[in-house]
Amino acid sequence: MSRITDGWMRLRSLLSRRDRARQIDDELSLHFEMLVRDLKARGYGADARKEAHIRFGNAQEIRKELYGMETRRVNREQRTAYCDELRQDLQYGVRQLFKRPAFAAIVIGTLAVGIGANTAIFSVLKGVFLDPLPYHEPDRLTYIWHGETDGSCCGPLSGPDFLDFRATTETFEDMAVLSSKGTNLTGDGDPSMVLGANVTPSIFSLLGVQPVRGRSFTSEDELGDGRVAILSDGLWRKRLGADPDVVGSRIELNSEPHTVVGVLPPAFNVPSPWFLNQMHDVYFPFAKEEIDQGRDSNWLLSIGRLKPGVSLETGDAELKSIAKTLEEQYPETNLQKTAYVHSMHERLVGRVGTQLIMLLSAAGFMLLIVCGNVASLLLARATGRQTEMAIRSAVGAGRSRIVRQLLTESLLLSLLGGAAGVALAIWAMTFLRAVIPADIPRVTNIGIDATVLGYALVISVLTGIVFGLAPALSASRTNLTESLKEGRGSQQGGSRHSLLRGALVAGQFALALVLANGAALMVQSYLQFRGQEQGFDAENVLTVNVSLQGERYEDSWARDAFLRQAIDHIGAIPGVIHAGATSKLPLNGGTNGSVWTEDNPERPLSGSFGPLIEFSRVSGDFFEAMGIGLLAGRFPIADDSVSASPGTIINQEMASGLWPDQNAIGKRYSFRTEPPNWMTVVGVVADVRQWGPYRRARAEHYLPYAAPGWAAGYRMYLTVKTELDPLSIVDPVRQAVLAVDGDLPISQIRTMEGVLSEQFAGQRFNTLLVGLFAGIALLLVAAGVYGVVSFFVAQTSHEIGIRMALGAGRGRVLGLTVLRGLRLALIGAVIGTGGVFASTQVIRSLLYGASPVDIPTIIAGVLALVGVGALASLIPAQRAARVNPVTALRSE
Amino acid sequence: MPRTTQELVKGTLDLLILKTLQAGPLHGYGIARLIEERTKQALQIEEGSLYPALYRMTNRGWIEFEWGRSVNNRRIKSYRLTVSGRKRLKAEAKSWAEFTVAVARVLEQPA
Repeated sequence: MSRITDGWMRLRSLLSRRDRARQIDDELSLHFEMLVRDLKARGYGADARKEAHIRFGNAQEIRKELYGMETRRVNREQRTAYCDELRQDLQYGVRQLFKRPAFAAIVIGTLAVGIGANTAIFSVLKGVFLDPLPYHEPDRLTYIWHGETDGSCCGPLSGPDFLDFRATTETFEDMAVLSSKGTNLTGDGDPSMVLGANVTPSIFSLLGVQPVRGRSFTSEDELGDGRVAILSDGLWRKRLGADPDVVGSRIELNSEPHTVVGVLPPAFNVPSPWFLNQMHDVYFPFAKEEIDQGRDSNWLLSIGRLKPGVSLETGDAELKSIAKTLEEQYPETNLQKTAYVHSMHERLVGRVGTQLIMLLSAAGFMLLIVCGNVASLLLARATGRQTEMAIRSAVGAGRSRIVRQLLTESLLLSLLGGAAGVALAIWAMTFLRAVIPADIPRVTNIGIDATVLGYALVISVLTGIVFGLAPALSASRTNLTESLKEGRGSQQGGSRHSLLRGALVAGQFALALVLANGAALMVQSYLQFRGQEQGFDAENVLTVNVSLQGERYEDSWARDAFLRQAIDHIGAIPGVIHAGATSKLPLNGGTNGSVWTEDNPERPLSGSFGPLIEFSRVSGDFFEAMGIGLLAGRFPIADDSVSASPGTIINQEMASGLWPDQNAIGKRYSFRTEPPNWMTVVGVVADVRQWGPYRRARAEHYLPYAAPGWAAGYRMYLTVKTELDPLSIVDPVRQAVLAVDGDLPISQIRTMEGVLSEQFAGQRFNTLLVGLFAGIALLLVAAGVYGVVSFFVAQTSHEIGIRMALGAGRGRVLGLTVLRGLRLALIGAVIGTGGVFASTQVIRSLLYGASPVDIPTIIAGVLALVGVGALASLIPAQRAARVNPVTALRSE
Repeated sequence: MPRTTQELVKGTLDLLILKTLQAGPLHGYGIARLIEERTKQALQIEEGSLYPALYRMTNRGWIEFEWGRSVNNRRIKSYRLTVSGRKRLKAEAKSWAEFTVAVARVLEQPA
């Protein structure tokens, strides 16, 4: 051994696979050669090599064994070395945090806001949209709708059509229907109303559940008197005190005794897109003849389970072809009638899911801006740490080593920020739950669980890399000699850093513009829809629901009698101005059918001919109570109903649609019945947006309750106009109803202001959140600009001093400095405007039909950003203008 | 008839290697030869046992190695004791002594 090339130390270097194999070969072959040499010396002569082979044994096997051992050793040592470094970096990082607690607090706080917002929105998205529906193999569940061949879709099915679909289908495993109805719990205790549903027996097994007590419905129940019921777990606990012997007992529903045959598992509900956040509490079996009639009356919500492996499209195509056969078979009822099959998940949460994804994108934008701010802060600090980096690399730390150390510090920050963010999200969830709109289903399923925490962890790590990488790479490029030579406080790397920071701030401006523009559009859209004429006066109007079910109300005159008496009693309550009743509330959707007019000589054959007319039943002073203005004619009087051709009220839309340029009063029309059931127009009222604030008013007629005809109205809304707070008369109204029928509960007690406000809950929720994100984004951007400009001022105070010494005025210095912030704002605004146009498609779904591109809004946004840029630059600029040339020059 | 390493009590080879390296750094072949010489050829150290033992002991941190060059410029890997190897040697030697004494006591008993 002549020269020592390595020091005595354990080999730690990253040995490549080949190196490792070669070292083993070298060692073994050396051994072999030495053996041969010795053997020769001992006189083996020519046979020495052969003998050595014999002694050596299987060299290949030894080699393999050694290679395995060596690999394990090197791996372990690498791991140890890596862990050591990580521990060092972490310790160092923690020390850095404690050294500058204010810096750490600002960074962690900013990150907490960004990560917290994302985590909170994600938890809503997951609970509502991403989680599969809580049924057996929910991917195969569908809704089956009635629609028309012209593409209009999504009404309920008729019973006979459903029975034919179910009997013929080969792509569906099973189909079932339900019809939801208000159900009065009577008998013991105060009467109350719950949501009930008539169902076909197989609906529970179709969804994959069985009652946990008792039994499911059977086909025999379809033939019985319908006096059996299956209860939800919730009703069983709340109303029946979780009585273990409930099965077989009798409970009174709609004033009639029913036998309880089963209790369903906790939280189970047959999902209806029309009652998104309401649970069905009681299920009744449909009688066979109830379904097997009326091919032209569409009223059943149909659920289907596709066979395994059958696609939605295949099922859809099959039902369409069955519908075609039915159309040929029953032309008088099924002309142009077809079927649509939609995924249950998509129908229940698809639209909400899209909106939540939009909100998550907005939160993501905000998080990017947060990253920009934190990166900017780190860059500023990196300038101060240049000497430290130089020393580190001088003592042998490689570039990757320094990057790793700085990234570890960033990840430490982002993970702490993430933890704080999760805490913030948990706190925010209590707030979010309160403002979450009623049309978002499955709210109870929202929570911070392992998946949400995993998401928070992933975005924390990504955030750490995003904001940490640029500063780390930049800092690691320290020029050793330059930095050490110039000493502390050098400006060398600073200019590169401030360039990078400038770019970051400009990028933040761009992101903020996109966010702010979206928020501004949403606010405009919200105000526009909120402020528009809805067709009624919501002020001081109370509405309560009564469900006129059971034997007592089977006849329509009995229901009419109840309404008259109840309205009389309510009218007598002090403070009540008008009282009336309607079968459907404004903005809450409705039912419709097609009509034909007496003037039209050609009588249409099918339901698909003739204009569609919304219909409702009204009683008492409904129009006065609701503030729906009379435009022509008069309100109906009692005599109108008993005449052969009952008098009705129609809206402006119907009047101008059916009798354009004519006086509608006195005209006669009929729903498509045989013989025709003529009705006479006695009054025309203003249009009400029956289908919600986002759709225009449709043609509508109001039939007095006493008159014979369609829409018999089992579920009625009492509407009461009061002088003072409408909620103050809830109790008198309840007493008035109970005075007429002691078993009849009132439910859904709301003011019309509340009904109106509910309609905007979704839009309000989205607008609120995006507005909040945009606001935070602007604050962050302002902070970013402030930081960059302040830094610039601090760095160039020497130069400013010279300028001022040479006669530059304070105004000029101020201007030059503000200009620096403005330049960044303008660059950002230009990029951001591009972003606004690029994001139009994305934001459309949050705007409820408002245009996603609005030039004045963009201009306002740009001006706002420039304003923010100018304001945020002004403070440091003033500092610059106050620079005393003498001190500035002396300090260098 | 020399005994082969397979028959050696497991761990004894480690002890022998540690002892051999106590004098100073040595390459694998040298270790084998030295043990054979010192046992007067009573023990023959086979390569298939020697090298795994050396690698295992390196991994445990009892010995360490370096690459050097011989006079005729061949790469040579030589091993030497580490601090923990020295401790190990002391402990092993002690327990070996105790072991042999114990065995000897049994054998000295009259039948």
